[in-house]
Amino acid sequence: METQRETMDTVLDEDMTEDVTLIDDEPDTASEPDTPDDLVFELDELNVYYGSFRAVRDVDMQVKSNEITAFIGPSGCGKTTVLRCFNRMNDLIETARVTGNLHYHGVDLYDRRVDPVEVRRRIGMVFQKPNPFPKSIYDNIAYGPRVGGLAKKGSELDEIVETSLRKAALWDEVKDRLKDSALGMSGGQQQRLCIARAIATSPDVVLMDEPCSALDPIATARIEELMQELKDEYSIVIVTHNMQQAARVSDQTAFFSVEVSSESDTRTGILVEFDRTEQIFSNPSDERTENYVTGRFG
Amino acid sequence: MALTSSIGVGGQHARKRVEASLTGSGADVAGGGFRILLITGLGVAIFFLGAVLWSVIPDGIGYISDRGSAFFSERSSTRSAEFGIFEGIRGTMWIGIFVVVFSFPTGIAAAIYLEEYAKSNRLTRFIELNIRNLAGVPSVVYGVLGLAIFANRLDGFFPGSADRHLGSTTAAAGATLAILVLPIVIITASEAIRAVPRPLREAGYGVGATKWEVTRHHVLPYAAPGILTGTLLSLARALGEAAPLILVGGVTGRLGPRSGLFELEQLGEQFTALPLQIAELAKQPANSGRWTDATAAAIVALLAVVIIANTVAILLRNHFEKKRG
Repeated sequence: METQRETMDTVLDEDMTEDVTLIDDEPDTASEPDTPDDLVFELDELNVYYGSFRAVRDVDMQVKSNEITAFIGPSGCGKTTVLRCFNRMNDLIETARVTGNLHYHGVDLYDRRVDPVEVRRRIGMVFQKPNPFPKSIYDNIAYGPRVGGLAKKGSELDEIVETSLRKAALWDEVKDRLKDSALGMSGGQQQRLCIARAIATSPDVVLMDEPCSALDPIATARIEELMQELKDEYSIVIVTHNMQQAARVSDQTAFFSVEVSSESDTRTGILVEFDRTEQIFSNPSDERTENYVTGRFG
Repeated sequence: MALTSSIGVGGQHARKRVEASLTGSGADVAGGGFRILLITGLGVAIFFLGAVLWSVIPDGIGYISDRGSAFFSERSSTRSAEFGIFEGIRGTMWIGIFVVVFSFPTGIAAAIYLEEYAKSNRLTRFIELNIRNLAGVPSVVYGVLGLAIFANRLDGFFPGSADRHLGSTTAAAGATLAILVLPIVIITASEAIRAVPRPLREAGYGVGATKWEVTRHHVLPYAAPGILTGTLLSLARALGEAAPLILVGGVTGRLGPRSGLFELEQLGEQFTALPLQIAELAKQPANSGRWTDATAAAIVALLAVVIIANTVAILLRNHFEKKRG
């Protein structure tokens, strides 16, 4: 355990030389288009391709800070694909390519100078299935701060671990077994651990890709409750298959759908409607949205 | 009342129908035949394994207990009662060291590059395909390669051996077998790395780890048991090879006077190995002396070496699997 931490620390020291900002030379924000402070993401004509196949077409959207933005829509409509653009997770897929603009606080996330590793330290992610590291509960939380150089001393790390677990409403359940393997926890606990892990690097945004799809209703309710608490500090974007969940938790909702091209027989995801959640569910302006939220389609 | 009784009658009928359909099917002939076939396969394998052990172990153990430690510490001899396998053990040991020192790091590094860093394009697939083919190349061919490169071109692959015009050195033999197992190490390590679940990598990248950190902290620890098992099995294979050693120029008679087990100078000297000694012993006349027993004893020694390598592989794998949780 101790030796492991030491080797981690040496890795950390190398990393400390890295610049803390996304871009080496700070861009002149004055020259950028005016971005209201409460906007986290601005998408303009965003297209995502896998090889020559266009998976998502022309997405325009503005994600506000300290709100929960939900992506809903049928399978294959590209909501997860768009979500994974927000923290450059699509970079891991070799054939994936993004065109159009995706600005994060006015900075083009797909600028060549942007370091995806720095992006992911600011924009955390929670995945569909709980995926804790096969390490202790403590090390799961401490890993991000360690590689990110957020804590130099063990006591600082202890503090980060405790705060993150408290925010994820997990501290009381695990405080006596921090050294136990995270794999011994229940599915719901594991997912809350993953949320704690995502917020341990003090991100600004937390992306959630169907975080409750592998959980039972009680664990789901706990996570939804947690999201409401977290939105004071973080902006949250959540992909969900569950329309009730979107209606319950989110402030804004984006409805994606699939456009089937009759000539080439390809399926492309499109953003049909993006509005306040009440609007989407009570008075949608697009007929396709209405059909979906009333259960007549999808 | 009438209603319940009619349900009772109907229920009785239904019970008979259901019972007939549940119990009526005949014996599963095809399934039974298949099962017999499988058991036969297992039986044949166990029979021949047992035959090998039965024909070797009693004679071998008998010979070893007659000779005592002298069998392991004496050098080769023309008399069956005085034969010792010290030189073979030494050669096999050096071959093992070459494989561990050269093949393991090189092969694992190549596997990490192919799986984690290389772009998956045509060139990468071509290289992977060829490594697979190389793993299937007969060991004799590697012997020719070792003879041409390490023994002839590089004059025995050890400083000083060129002056004595000695190409067939221990170093040349070790290098040849290191090359022989390299593709196997790459393939098994690649497969172990490929088996690392994608969500684990994504979790690492998701909290802002770099590629190197994800590889070092998550991929390699998870793949370690598989990598270790594969590499140690390839070590066992190298220790058992005879054909390439014959081509590189292994000696079957008594070697020079060097006697230590760990003398580096031995790398520049002529070599033999346990498999070569077994082949040589087996060629001796069966009806004079105790050559058959000596052969069996040498086989027992080689089997012990290989079993030890495999046991270490299993223990290490269990250790690392426990660590990964």
